[in-house]
Amino acid sequence: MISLIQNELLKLISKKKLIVITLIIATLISLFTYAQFKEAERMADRYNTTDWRTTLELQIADTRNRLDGNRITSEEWRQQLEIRIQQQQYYLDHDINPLEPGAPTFVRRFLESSVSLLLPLLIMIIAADLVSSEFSLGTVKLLLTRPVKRWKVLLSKYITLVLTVSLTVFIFGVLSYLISGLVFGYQGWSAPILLGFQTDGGVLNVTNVTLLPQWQYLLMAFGLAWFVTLVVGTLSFMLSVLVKSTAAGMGIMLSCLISGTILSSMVSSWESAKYFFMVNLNLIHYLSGSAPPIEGMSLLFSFTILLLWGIAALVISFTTFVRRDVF
Amino acid sequence: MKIRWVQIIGIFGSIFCVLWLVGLGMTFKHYFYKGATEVNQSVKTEIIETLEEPINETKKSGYHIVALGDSLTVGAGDPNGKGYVGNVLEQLKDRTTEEVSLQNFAINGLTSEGLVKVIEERDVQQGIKDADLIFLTIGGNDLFQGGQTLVELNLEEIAQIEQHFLENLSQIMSDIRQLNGNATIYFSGLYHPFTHLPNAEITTKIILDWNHHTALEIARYKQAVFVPTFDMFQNNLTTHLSHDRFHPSTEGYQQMANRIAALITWDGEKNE
Repeated sequence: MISLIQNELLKLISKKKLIVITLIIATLISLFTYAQFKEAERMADRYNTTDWRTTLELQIADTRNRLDGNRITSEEWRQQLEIRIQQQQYYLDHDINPLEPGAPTFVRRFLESSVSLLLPLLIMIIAADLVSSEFSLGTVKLLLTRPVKRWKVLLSKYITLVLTVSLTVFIFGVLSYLISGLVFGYQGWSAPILLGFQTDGGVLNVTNVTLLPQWQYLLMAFGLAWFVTLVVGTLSFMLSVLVKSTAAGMGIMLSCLISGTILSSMVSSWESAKYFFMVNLNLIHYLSGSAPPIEGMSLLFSFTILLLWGIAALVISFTTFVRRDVF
Repeated sequence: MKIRWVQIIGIFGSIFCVLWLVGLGMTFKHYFYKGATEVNQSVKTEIIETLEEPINETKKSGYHIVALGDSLTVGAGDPNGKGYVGNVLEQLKDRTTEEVSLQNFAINGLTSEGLVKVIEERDVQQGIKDADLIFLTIGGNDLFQGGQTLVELNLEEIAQIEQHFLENLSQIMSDIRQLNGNATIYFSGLYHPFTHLPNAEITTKIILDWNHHTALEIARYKQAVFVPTFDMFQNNLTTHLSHDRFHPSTEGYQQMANRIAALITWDGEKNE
C-alpha cells in the first residue's frame, strides 16, 4: 500500500502541479496584500490619524451625540447604536485595535474570503485528472494489470489527494503569513477574536459570544477550510472517475462552484437549495457570525451536508472504478 | 531526488492532515460545548457584532444618490424635467463605470417644516441610510412664500421666518447625519429671482444674509457642503430663469448641476 501511495506521489511531483499551485497562491497573495495595504492607507487618510484610539473615541462620541439627540424614532435602531458603543468601548478598555493590522489578521481575512472559491479551485487542479488522466494516457491498463486489488489502487490515489489537500492548505497559510508579514509585520497572534454570534430570525443573538486568541481561531478556521477543500476535492475526484475527459470533469466542477457563489447571494427564498453542497462551502462564516445564505442553515447543518456529499462521492467513485470494464 | 520529495510530501502531508483535524475538532468543541464554558461570561454581555464590521460596511456596489427638498430638486421649470439632480446624475454616470442610482424625494412647494416631516417617513429614512450622496435644497418657499414676503417688506417678520428656518434646518441636518454619517450632503443655496422689483437692494441683502446663515449652519456638520447659486443667477436672470420667472430654466439647472458635479470626488472615477 505504501509503495502504491509513493508511486502516486511520484506521478504528482513529475506533473509539477504543486509548484503551479504554490505559484498561483504566491501571486494572488502579493496582489491582495498590496490591495489591503492601499485600503489601510486610505482609512488612515480618511480619519486623518493613524491612531485607532482617537478614531474610536471620536466614533463613540459621535454615536453618543446621536443617541442624546432624542431624534431616533425606532427602538431597534437605538439598541443597535447602544450595542455599537458598548463594543467600541470594549475595544478601548481592553486595548484591542478592531482593525488590528498584522499578518495573522490578513491570513484570517484572506482565508475567510477564499474558502468558498479559491481554495476549492486550486485543489481541483490536482483532483480533476487524478484518475481520468490514467484513462486518457492509457496508463490505467498498466496500473490494473498489477497484482493489486482495484480498490487499493483507487484508495492510494485518494490518500494522495488527502495528503495534497493538507499540504496545499498549509502552503496557503504559510505563504499568506510570510508575504503579508513583509508589509503588515508578523505580530498579532494573540489578538482576541470574537466568535459565537448567531442570528435568530434576523436578530443578533450574543449570549454565546466568546473571546479567542487569534492563533486558536486560525487553527479552527483552517480546520474548516481543510474540510471544505477536501470535500470539493473528493467531488472532483469522483468526476475524474466518472468522466474520462479531464476537461469535462473540470468544467462541471467549475460551474458547480461558480453557481454556488451566485446561488448563495440569491437563494434566500428557495429553501431546498440549502441541500446543494455549493451553498454550504463557507463554513468559516458561521464562526464569525455572518448571516447564512438561507435561513435555518447552521455550522452543523452545512458540515453534515458536505460530509454526506463527500461520502456519497467516495462510494460512487469506488463502486464505479471497481466495476468498470477497462479495455 | 524525487524519492526524497515523495517522502517530504508524504510526511508533511500527514502531519498537516492531523493538524487540520485538530482544528476541526476544536471548532466542534467550541460550537457545542460553549454553553458549558462559563469563563467568558462577563465578556459575553459586553460584546456584539463582528470585528470585520468597520471595514465591511462600505462594501456595497455602486453609488446611491438621495435628493431631498423643494421644487428646485424636483426640477420644476425645466422642460426636460431633469432639474439639476438629473443633470448631475448624467454627469456622474459618464464619470464612473459603476452603477449610479437615484431616489428623489423632493416635493414642490415644500418648506423646511415640511421637510422635517418628510425625513420621518420610513422609505425616506431607508434611502438616506443607503445613500452615498445627498442633494438638498430647502428654504426658498419659507422665505418667498409665493413672492409675498419680499413685496411687502417686513424685516421683523423675515427675521422670524429665518430663525424658524434655521431651527428646522438644524433638525434636518442632524436627522440626516444620524441616519447616515458618511454620505456627503450638497446643499444648494438660494438665488435672487426678483432683482427687477423695487427695493432690490434690501431684498438682495436679505437673501445674502439668509444664505450666509444657512452656510454657517451647514458648516457645523462633517461632509456637508454649501453650494452657492446666487452669483450664477445674479446677472443672468433672463437666460437662467424659466417662464414663471421663479424657477431655473434648463440652462439654470445645468449651471447648478455643473457646480455640484465639480465638487463631487469619489474613488470610482474612471480616470483615476
